[in-house]
Amino acid sequence: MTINGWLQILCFFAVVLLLTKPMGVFMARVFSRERTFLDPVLRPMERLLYRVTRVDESREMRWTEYSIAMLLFSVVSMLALYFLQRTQQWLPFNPQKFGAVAQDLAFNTSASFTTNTNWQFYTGEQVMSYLTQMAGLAYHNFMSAAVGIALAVAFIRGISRREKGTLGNFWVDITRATLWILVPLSIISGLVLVSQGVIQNFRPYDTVKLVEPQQVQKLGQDGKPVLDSSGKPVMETVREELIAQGPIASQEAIKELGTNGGGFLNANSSHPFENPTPFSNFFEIVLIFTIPAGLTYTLGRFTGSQKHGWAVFAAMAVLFFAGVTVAYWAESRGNPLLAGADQHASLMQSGGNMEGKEVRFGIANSALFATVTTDASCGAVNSWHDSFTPLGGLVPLVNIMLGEIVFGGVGAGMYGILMFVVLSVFIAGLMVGRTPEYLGKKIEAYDVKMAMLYVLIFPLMILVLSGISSLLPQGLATLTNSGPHGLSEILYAFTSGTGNNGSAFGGLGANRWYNLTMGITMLVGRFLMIIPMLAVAGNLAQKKLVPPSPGTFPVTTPLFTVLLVSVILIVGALTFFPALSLGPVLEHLLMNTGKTF
Amino acid sequence: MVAGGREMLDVAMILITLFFFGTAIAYTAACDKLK
Repeated sequence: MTINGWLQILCFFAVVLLLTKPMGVFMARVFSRERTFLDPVLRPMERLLYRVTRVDESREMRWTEYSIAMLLFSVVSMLALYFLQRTQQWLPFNPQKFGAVAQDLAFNTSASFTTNTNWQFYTGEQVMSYLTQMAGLAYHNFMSAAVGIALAVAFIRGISRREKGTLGNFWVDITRATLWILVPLSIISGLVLVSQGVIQNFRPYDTVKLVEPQQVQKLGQDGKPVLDSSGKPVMETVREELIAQGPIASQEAIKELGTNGGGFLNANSSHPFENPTPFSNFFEIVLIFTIPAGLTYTLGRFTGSQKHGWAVFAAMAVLFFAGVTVAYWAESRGNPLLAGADQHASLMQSGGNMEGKEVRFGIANSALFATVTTDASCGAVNSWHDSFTPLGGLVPLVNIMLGEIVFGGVGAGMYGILMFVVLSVFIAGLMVGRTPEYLGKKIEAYDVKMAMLYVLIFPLMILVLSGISSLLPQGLATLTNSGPHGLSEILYAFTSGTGNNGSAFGGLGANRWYNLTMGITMLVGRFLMIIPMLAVAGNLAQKKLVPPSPGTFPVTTPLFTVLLVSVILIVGALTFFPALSLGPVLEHLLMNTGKTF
Repeated sequence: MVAGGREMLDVAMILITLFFFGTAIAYTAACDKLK
């Protein structure tokens, strides 16, 4: 680890901290329908949208209605993306003349983008037309993020309202999240990225002649090397290379801001067309945390307890620094099996474990990006998590397993940590022998039942499907590594899918088994967790306010922050420790004995 | 036959999607009744 590396990490966190209050205040004003400086432009557009769609903006919804509206919106959006992928060969903006996306892959991709996961079993520049990227994938980048923000605001309303049975209006909330927050910030961010060299065009791909033709193994349609009659690989000479083009900058901004993570190009943010400079790299990482960090301030503003918002922020900050420290330390140490190689940091090299990392970004910015993208449910990558050391790779995996509540996905991180807050005050109540209370609301059996449903669905999907995939031939058919590393790849895939993260460990190829199971996993991990969360919100909104008493557990103190962090770690550790022991932990121990996979 | 098979796969994907969201709506009602 170097001082330079730590300065960059601390500088990043300082910028996030500075943005938290202005973002939080702005979002609180937007969702309280208070006046903002964008109203003269956006309010007429909003009114027009409601008139066209016949939405009564003053009408409030119960939690069940809010939930069903969200589900109906999502199913229609998901089917629209499916049809777009299946018909792209007949539609415009397809200069490379790509055919229809295969059915199971189209299903997987539709589920992936509808759920804000953006898991990519496809290679964007080889499969998706410009129209599918813009009207299909980018649409979901905006709308899945807007749904997440709306849900977080609905939950916050549930906490802050008294004896009211409603949580707001779903249609109004997603409209305001899109018009006031996501679109303006994406336009500004897109222009900043263009200024750094991120491309934005509709040109067909460039073909360039290689300076030095390359001999490579010929690959068949299945992606495997073609062998001659004697079993030797057939070689071919490559003289030209295709360089992908496209409207990248406009998608890059919302990719980070909406914690979506699906890259226009397969190499994601390690590709110089998506992430060309040190500043663009810094800017992209900041964009990932901007809205989730701001929502902690919005929480304080809505509940009238700004200290509570900061206490939640502090818990997130503790977990963030723990993760980035371990990842940076593990990757800086390098690979002990390469003892003869110079792996020390110097003016000439980053040092450490540079496999799968961009030389432009080095260890500190790769470890920081990997931590941030999995703290939030983003999933964009600027380095290959599969190539991290076992303990370095453990950090992104654990971040997702904890529920991506360290700032978290836009909205999803906020409602996720608030479910842990409900559990924390419940446990605190048990410890002092009083009825648990949260900001003057009594936490009762129904709230805890729903919180447990929320917490249990997550590991159920991950562990059961990882176990089945480790046994079935279909689950092992596309795995490129054996032993504990192979298990980590399967475990990471289902964790990323259920957690709606979307980053991949790599090393696990697509087939029909994974396309279908991952698709279903992403849907369950999003929607079947949202429903109990909304049930808690609806129930809290109806409750009376109880005046604080000596037995009330304060949720504004460092003790609360410590308890919240402890509950998150204990729930995560108890659930996933056995699986992690068989994966990255075992791999680390075996690596130290000289064995790799 | 091949074309027919492909169409059936499209129908299967759409049915899986509709079945999931139908289940989610039923799950919403079940969570509400649990109270």
